[in-house]
Amino acid sequence: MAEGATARDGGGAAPLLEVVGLRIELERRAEAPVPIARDVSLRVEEGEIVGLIGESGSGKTMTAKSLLGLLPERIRVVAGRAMFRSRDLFALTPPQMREVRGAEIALIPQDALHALNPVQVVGRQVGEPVEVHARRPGPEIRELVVRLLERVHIPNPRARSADYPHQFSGGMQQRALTAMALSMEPPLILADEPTTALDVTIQAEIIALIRDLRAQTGTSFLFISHDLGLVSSLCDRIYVMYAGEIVESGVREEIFDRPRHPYTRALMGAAPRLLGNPERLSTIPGRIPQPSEEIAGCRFRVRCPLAEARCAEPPPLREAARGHDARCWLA
Amino acid sequence: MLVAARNLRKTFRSGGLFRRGAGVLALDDVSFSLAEGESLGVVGESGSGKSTLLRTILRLTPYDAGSVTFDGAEIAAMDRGALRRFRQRVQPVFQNPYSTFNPRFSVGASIALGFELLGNVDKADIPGEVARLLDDVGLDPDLASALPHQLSGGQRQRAAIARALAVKPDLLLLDEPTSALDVSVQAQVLNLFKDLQGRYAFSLMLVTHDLPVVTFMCDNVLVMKSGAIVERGETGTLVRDPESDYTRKLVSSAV
Repeated sequence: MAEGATARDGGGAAPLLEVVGLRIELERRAEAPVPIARDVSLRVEEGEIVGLIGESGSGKTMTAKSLLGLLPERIRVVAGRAMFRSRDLFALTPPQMREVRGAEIALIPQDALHALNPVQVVGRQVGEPVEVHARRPGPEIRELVVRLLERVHIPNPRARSADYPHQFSGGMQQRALTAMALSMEPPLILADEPTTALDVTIQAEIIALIRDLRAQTGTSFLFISHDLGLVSSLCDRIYVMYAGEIVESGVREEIFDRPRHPYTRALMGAAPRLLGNPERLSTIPGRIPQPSEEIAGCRFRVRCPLAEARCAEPPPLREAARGHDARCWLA
Repeated sequence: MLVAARNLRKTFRSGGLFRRGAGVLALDDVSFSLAEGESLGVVGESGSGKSTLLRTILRLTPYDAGSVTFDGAEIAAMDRGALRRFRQRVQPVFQNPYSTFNPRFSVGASIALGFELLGNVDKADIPGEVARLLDDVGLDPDLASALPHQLSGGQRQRAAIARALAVKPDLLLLDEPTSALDVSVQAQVLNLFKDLQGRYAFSLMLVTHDLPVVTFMCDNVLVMKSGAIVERGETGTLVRDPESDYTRKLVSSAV
C-alpha cells in the first residue's frame, strides 16, 4: 500500500487527524466484498480547513462517516488507521467512540431538516451534546445555547431557541446544526456538504461563518463537497476523490492553478462559469464506475483522454510538485 | 412572440379551515416575453416565484390576474382542442424525472406515448423512432426496455429529454434540470440541450438557482425575488454590470 506521502511539510508537530491506508468495504452475502474506499490517506492540521471533493460514489461521505463510527450496516473499515490526538479512531470501543463523537469531533450533516428532531424544540437539540457530555445544570445549558445561536447569527436567539425545526428556514436550520456542532468546542468538525441544499446567498453566509469560527477558535474542518468553486474559495488544502481513491491532493492554489490529474482537470472544465464560458463544456466520456467494477490499473483509465499502455499498472499517489501529490503516471 | 405574459399575479392562500392567513404573493405583477428561438433564464432563490411562473405558463397553476399568451392565444381561454395542441407544443423537464416517469412502464413505452398521442408516426415505426430519439440524447437504444429505476440519474434525465422531444415541441420549459446531477453529468446534459436546440430548433425557458448554468445556456435572463422581476437583460451584460443590489448579491455569491 502506498503511504508515507503524509508528514512532509507539517513542520514537526503531529497533525490533528491523520488517516493512513483506509479501506472501507461493503459486505455482500454470497459474493466478494465491494471496496468503497481504497487506500485513503489524508491529514488535517490544527486550524486547517481541508476540502475533500468528489462526485457521487467517490467514497467521500463514507470516508467521513468512518471517522465517527457512523458507517451503515454491512459497511466496514477493514484496513488502515485514523490517528486523532494519539489515538486510533478505528480501534475505539463503542463507548469510547461516544465520548469522542460530538465532544472532540463533531459532524455537520448535509440535510438539516432530516437531521433535526421535528418534535423537539431547537434549543434543546443544540444543547444536547453539552447535556450528554458535560452534564451541566439546565439553566447553564440554556444560557450556552443562546450564546451559541447568537454566534451563528440567529436573530433573537432566546425566543428562537423555543421554536420547532419547521419554524426555522433552511439556512437557519443549517446554522442551528452548526451551533450544535460547536457546542462542545471540538477541535475538529466534519462538514458533509453543509450548504448543498441552501440558496447561494445563504451558502455564502455559512461559508463566512466557518471562516470566522476558524479565525476565532482555531477549529479545524474537514469540508466534504462536490462543489469545486465552493472548495476553492474556502479550503487551505484539498483532496480529490474518484471511484474510492484519492487521485490528487495539495494546497488550494496548486490544485486550482496547476491541476495534475486528468480527472481534476476534466472536472474543472465541466463546471460552467459566470463569464467566459466556452461554446461547449468539456465532458468526461463514459460514467463513474460502480464500486463493484474491477478496473485493472488506474481507475480513471477507461475515461481518460491521455491513457496509455502503462496506465494498466496501478499508479501510486506520488509527489508531482512540492506539496502536491497525484495518482497518475503522467502527472 | 411565442410567449407573452402581462401583469401576472398569483397569491397562495395560507391558513386553515377556520382562519384565513394573509397569503403569499408568489407572482407580483410579472410581465415578460419570449421570442421564437430564444433561450430565457429565470434565476432566483427558493420562494422567489420562479417555479410558480413556470407552472403558470404550463397551465398547471391558474393565475389570479393578468394574461399569458402562447403564439397569440390566451392559455386560460383555450378549449379542449387548443389545449391539446398547446400541451404538445410546450414540454416540461423537471429536476427529478424519476417522479414523472411511470415506474411500471419501460422507458421506451413512456417515450412511445408521445408518438401515439401525436399520431404522426405509423404504429409499426414507433420502436424505430424511439431508438433514434434515445440515440439522439446519447442513450443506448437498448435502454428502451429498461425500467426507470434501472437508469442512473443522468440517464433518466436524458430519457426525460427524449420523451419531451418525441412530440416535437416548440418550447421546452426546464425546472432545475441539472440540479440533482453531478458536475460531470451536468456538463453532458447542458451540452446536450445546446446540441438538440440546434437540431430541433425549440425555444427554451430555464428556471434555476444556479447563475453559471444560465450564463452558459441562455441569451437573456430574468432575476426574480419575492414574486417580482427585479432585473432583466442580456445575460452577459447583467452578470458583468448588475444594477439591482439583489442581482449584485447573487453574482457575488456565485463562486
